[in-house]
Amino acid sequence: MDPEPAAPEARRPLILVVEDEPQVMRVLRAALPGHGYRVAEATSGGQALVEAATRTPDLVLLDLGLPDLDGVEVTRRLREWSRVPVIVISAREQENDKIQALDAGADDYITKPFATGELLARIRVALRNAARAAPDGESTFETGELRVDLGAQRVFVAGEEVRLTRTEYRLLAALVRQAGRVVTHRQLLQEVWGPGAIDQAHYVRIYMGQLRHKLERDPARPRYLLTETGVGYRLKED
Amino acid sequence: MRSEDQDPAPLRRATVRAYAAAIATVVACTLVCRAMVGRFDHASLIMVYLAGVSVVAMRGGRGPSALAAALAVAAFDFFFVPPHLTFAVADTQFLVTFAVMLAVGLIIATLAVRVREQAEAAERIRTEAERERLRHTLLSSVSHDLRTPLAAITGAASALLREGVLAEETRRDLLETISEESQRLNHLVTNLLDMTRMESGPLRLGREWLPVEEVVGSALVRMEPRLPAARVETSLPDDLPLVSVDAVLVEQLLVNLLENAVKYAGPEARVRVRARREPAAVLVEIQDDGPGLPPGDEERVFEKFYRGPSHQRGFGLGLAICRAIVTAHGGRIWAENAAPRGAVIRFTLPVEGAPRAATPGEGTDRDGP
Repeated sequence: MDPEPAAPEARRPLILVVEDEPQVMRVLRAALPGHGYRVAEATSGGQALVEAATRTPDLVLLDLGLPDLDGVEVTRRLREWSRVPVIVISAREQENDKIQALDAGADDYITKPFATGELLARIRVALRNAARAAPDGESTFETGELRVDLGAQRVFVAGEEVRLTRTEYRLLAALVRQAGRVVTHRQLLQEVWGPGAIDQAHYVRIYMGQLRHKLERDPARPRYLLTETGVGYRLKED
Repeated sequence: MRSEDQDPAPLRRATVRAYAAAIATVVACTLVCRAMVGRFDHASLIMVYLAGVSVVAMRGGRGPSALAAALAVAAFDFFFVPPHLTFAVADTQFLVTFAVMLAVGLIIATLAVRVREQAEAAERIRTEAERERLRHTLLSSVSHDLRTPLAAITGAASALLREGVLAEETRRDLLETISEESQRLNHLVTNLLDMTRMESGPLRLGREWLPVEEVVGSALVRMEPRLPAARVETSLPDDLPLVSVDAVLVEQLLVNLLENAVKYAGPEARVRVRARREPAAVLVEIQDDGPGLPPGDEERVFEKFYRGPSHQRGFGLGLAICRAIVTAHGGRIWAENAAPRGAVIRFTLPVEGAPRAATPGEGTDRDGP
């Protein structure tokens, strides 16, 4: 799944790590190249914006607790001109910043302390989603026993077709288009119910419950439609 | 005890009440003496008054006690010393009686007030000692429980640094130790910070309406590595109402309870998670098949730094955090031993009103694609 370690230096994805804590930077600097990534470094929000503009990284790994700009602001400014995938690194107390950063356009998050394996998985998903030319309306998504045919708008579990209501399908499709990535309650409300429903988070939760009852073997222990508590949902990939 | 800058109005009311009680007590004593007079001598009547003064002294302060003593002498003189119903005294030896009665009354009052003040001081010292004991327990448990994983990590890391002499299997073992112990450390620090946060003031809840199934589900998924699906039985009826809770905190609550079940009932424990609708709440219970709680400890398990009889590792904060979370939501949490074995912890989450639109409409396009 990692890029070929033997790939020529210049073709390896470049990750801009924005982190002001030297210990964390040290670990990332050691871990990422071993998995086929090049690393650029920034220790402040201002420097991050400059580096992002001059070195055009393939992905930005952004700590939310920076000395100058806060991570949410960095995300917002970055999004004014760039589609580069952003993964925010948050501490446990930064629950709110994390959600704000996601709503401001960050692609995913990871909470400190994290295992390298988890971080690498997030990076792979973000890079792959960015590489997909456009949100595809044609393709088929598969994970475990779940198959979603986005072209024909049909859903199967273990080969059996499952009948979904229009809203259930739109909710599922929204997650499929972001498969593997966290999608916030707000983003789902906006996409499925429209801007008028932004403060009705329980809509999403009720329909997610219904979807789980139709698609999951045990709705109280979901395998596909995972809850990111306090943030949103994530459709699990294989 | 009370500082002078307290709101003066209630303080003044309390003082007025104490003086009124002093007067009422003397009136009551007089009525008792009226009933006794004839059959009992004067000495007995004086005893009744002194008893009344003692009662006032035990409840009120110095002022009301002194008033009671003086009134007692006056009432005794007025009603029971000839000539009756005047303050005149026929026999001058009664003047000595009055003086002694007043003196004894005042002494009793002084002693009683002092005893009460000493009791209050002792209580204050006890509370402070308790706080000091908690602080001490916290410190010793922090230093012990944080040092143990740190020692393991330091040991394993320094062994790895002297590379070359280690077999691959040993290397892996040491690396696993570092990984596991740092996770434990993270867990301990998280619990400690949570507890501190919860004690530093009322918890701010980010309440949202959500199905119980969702939060139970996310807790079970988080616990999956330590508590595989095969060992959990869930029973969540379909008619459970939405609850208005802080999702992050309630997930934490459930994870703590599940962790606790695994910790005390052993790695092979079977756990049952059930929920049901009560008149004004949703009741959730988590039951294990372990040895159960030591009888009599059902309430103590929720205290800070409580650890079970097997001296498990950890601060003993897990259930105290659970109680803080449930209380902040206006619910109740309690523990019992289950039949035939195991412990069961139940908690309630109150259900008040429903979200503005409980069931968002599908519009006209039902049963779409």
